[in-house]
Amino acid sequence: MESILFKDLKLYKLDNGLTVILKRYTRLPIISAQLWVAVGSICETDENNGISHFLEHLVFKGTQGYKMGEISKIVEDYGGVINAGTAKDFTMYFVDIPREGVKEAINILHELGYSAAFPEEEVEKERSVVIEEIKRAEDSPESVLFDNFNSLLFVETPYRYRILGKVENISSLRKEDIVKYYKEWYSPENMALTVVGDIDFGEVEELIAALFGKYRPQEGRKTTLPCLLETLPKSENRLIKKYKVQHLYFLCGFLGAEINSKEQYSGEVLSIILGKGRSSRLYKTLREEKKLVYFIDCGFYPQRGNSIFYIGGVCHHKNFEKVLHEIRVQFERIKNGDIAQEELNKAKEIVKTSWYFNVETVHSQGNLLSWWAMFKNINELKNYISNIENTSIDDLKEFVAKYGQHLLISALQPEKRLFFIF
Amino acid sequence: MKDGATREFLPNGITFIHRYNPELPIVAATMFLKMGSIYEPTKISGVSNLLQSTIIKGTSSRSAAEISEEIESVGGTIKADSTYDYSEISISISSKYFEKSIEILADIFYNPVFPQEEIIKEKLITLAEIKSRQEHIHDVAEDILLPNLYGREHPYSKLDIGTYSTVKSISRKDIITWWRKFYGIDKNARNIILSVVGDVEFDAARDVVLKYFPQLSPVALPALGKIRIDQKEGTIRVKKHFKQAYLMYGYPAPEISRESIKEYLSLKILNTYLGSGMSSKLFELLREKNALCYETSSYYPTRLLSSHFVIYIGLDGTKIDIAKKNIEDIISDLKTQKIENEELEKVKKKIRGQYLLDHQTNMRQAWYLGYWEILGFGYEYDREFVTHIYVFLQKIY
Repeated sequence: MESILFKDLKLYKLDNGLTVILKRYTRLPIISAQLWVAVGSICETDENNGISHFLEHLVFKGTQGYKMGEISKIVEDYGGVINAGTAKDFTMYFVDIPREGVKEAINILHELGYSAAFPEEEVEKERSVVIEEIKRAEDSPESVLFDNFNSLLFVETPYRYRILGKVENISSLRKEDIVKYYKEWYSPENMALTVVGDIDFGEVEELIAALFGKYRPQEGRKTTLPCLLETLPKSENRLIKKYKVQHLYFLCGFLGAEINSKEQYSGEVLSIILGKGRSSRLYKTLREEKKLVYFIDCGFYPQRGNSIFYIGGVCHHKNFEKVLHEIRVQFERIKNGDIAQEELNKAKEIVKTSWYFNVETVHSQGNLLSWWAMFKNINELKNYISNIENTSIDDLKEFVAKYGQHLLISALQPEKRLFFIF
Repeated sequence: MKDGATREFLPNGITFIHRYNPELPIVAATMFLKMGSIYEPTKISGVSNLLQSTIIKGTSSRSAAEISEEIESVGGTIKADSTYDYSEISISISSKYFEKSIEILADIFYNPVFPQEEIIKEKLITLAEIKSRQEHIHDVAEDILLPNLYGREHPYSKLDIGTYSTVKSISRKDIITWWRKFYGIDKNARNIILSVVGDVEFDAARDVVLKYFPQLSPVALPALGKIRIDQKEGTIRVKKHFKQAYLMYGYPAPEISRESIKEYLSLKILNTYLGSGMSSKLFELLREKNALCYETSSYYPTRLLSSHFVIYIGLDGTKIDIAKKNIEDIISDLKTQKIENEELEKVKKKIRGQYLLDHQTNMRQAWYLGYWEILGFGYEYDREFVTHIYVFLQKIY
């Protein structure tokens, strides 16, 4: 079944080190073109935290080939969508567009990646846009809670930085800092270009060679990062804050296996058993049977350093300790091997079916291929399903015993006594 | 998008719509019902939503847990929800389990038991959701705007999930009465649509649907009268605890109907022109040029009764006056000047492209086909919508 994703797939590197991923998929006359750069807040320092994201905003302010505002006009005039996102591990730019726009899309990504102009007055203006984005995040309980949880998980490594950064940094970064950072990180061997959809291989390959092939790796480029692995905590830790919420919001969990470990598959399977769907353990126990939460979610999030295993939810503040108790009970049960074979089979079935749902859009195919090509490798992706199939009850036991000993717990609780009574 | 969608009015009264997409071994099925908060008397507002959240919580032969277990153990998902004008139950699953999923859907449809304790639980969760609106600035602004745009009695002035007091007081009996009223066939209304898209052929899908839905009991939908709109004009300022400030403009706007289709399409075009993407007017002027905000856009919900058009911006409190001036300038330009042909040409391409991008999954395709049918335009309108925008624009030039 994985073959759907690997059919009509070309994967190669240009001489300058740029990874190219081309995938022909013609269900609809559209394409997704994506440029991934291995730069994000983990590449930052206390002094420049926020620069990766600020830079991502600024590359849209005009390039050598396009005037300010022209890029989004071109894409949107084709009926396409252009946007970008900054994560801790990477920055990605994408253009999803009807196939007529494929050449423009590739050219635009090339300009964004290599010839941003950073006009002085636009840098000044964009500061207030990003500062507004930070204020918006600080008004959002989900986002504040995530920052608090993050500060519990990460103490030593640059994963501790918030992607949006600090207002002081955004106010003081100079144009020269931005240009230097762009040169240091936006270098071909640090990037992947992916085009998925109704494409002609020959045409696209030629265009990519002509546009992207002319660059040499940037001088002064940075490729080394500080250590990305945290020391696992020795005890449980909590961060409970008052906030303007109506209910208690919580996020708890632990650091999991590092990126190249086979234990990643155990994390994935475990998150499904515990939290995916209405028949998962946490949904069933906490929401349905014990009625302790209004909302519950669980997930496994791989990163270049430690992965994150998390459980999040919303509940009445009086129920919070009971909720935590139930979560601990579930981890204890897993550690003791209290997992039915059918439960494990169901989780595997969910992973297998979700593969089909993942390949339904050209955008999600692009995401999947790009991430694996950049941070792991496509050959391992080919064995993804069999690695999931091989996950045993013992693997899950070991995963929890090794990583899940100490929960890290963050919560936002209502500031005032509530007048509503349930 | 792909053609080849077919519709058949089945002998059981269900409007069956189908498109065969064999590329992947999966299928999506969405059932649309004419049931929603526009049909609800004020004192039970939110009953459709509670009905939908409890209908998948147990039948005479399956418990809530068994329903989800059966679907999820083969990698499928099921959800049921309700909004102002219609309600849905949708299933997404491997095509080899299609028959099983329709059998479960029929069981839910014919034999729900609405267990009291499930009702209590879902009410609690709905009440929590209503309260959570106070945590997000956009929701707070909208909840102030809409009652002033419609008057407090109008269903569009309230949340489709009901108000705090109505949700609290809705009983199991209210839910069952509501189920009897809507879960059957109204011959004149074509009120139930089942849209299936994916790796199941037409005949096979149709036969399965007829096998498990042999007959539906007759119902008579309440008529949708004109509901009085009690609009207030003016500016309302409210102080809240957020770091950001929020400015929201609301205007009455036409419903979707054959009679108002021209106005409807022109406002959809206007909405794209003003609020869609990084090249939209609001984004260009308020964010790119004047750096007033991170977020600004517009929206115009498609509704069966008179709708609304909203423009909004999230910004620093000190910048409200300048943002107001900017937005009001845009609006007065729209009133006095024509949008250039070239601009309109781009807007229509934008609409076509976005429409195509939103039709990639079986689930979205099944949704669109059923959506246009439930709005009374027929499933073909999924294809015609874009052509219509084109033809319509040519007439304005």
